[in-house]
Amino acid sequence: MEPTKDGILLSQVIDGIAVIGFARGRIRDEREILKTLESLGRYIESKTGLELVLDLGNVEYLSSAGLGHLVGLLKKSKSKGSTLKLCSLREPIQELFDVMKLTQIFEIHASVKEATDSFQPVGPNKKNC
Amino acid sequence: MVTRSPFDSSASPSYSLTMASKGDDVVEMKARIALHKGPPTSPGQVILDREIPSDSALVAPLVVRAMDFLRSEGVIRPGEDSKIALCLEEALQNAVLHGNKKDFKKKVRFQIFLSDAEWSVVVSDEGQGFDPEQVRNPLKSEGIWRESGRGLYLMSHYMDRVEHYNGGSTLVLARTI
Repeated sequence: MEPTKDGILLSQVIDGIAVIGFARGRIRDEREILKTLESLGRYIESKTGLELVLDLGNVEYLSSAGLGHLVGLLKKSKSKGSTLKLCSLREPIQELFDVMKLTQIFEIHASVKEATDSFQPVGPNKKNC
Repeated sequence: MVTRSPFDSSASPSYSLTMASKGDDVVEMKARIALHKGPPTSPGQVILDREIPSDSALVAPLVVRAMDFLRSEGVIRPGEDSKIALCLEEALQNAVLHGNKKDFKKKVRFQIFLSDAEWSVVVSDEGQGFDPEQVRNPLKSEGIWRESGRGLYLMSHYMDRVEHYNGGSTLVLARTI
């Protein structure tokens, strides 16, 4: 996956699992985050059977628009037979998920490692993104 | 352009609705959400008064500016910066997107007031208003999967008072000091 032009999106592949993170995520940056999530959504829609981890560790701020975009990503993932997990939520973001009961629909892990380890191995030729 | 004041000290609310009547909703709502036909009474001394065109890109800079003002007044409780910023953003974005429907010619007025007991923000748009009772509960099963409709709930969760005036085109968010 190509980084976005503004460089806010960071991505790597660990054991065939795409791990996507953000360079920053402050109040001033939320519009960039939303654009990035939209871009990610188009990528998810173009593939099937992806295994994705979205690392929110650098995201300090999300509004209801950001939450809505994440829900949209999850819906797209499910519709394409892909799996999207979240990890490393900061306390205010975790609280938002708790308040809005989004923990009921998202699988959330404490770290990237915990998230990637949670995917079941599928053999020596795992899918690459 | 918003030329009239959203306030009218001589007018009292002609009716009031609350999500308390909505069963499941009230259990989760921390702040009372009320709708008044008329304008609010002035809630204290104004410490910031700004007006922006209906452009979402202008919201975040205004929120940052407003947070600076609130911090300088010492009214933000420790650890609540992001929560208050969230509420201000939700209020302003609702005014831009839903109130003025992104019509750049229409303005959103944003004011911060300070009194002995509380601080408050008043956000006024030039739209048709709305009835908060018609807003779906974002916590119910179908609501959780929706990609919008969480802003009002979040504001009610983090603020002490959420009131809509002028039929819904003026929003007051208040927090006790």
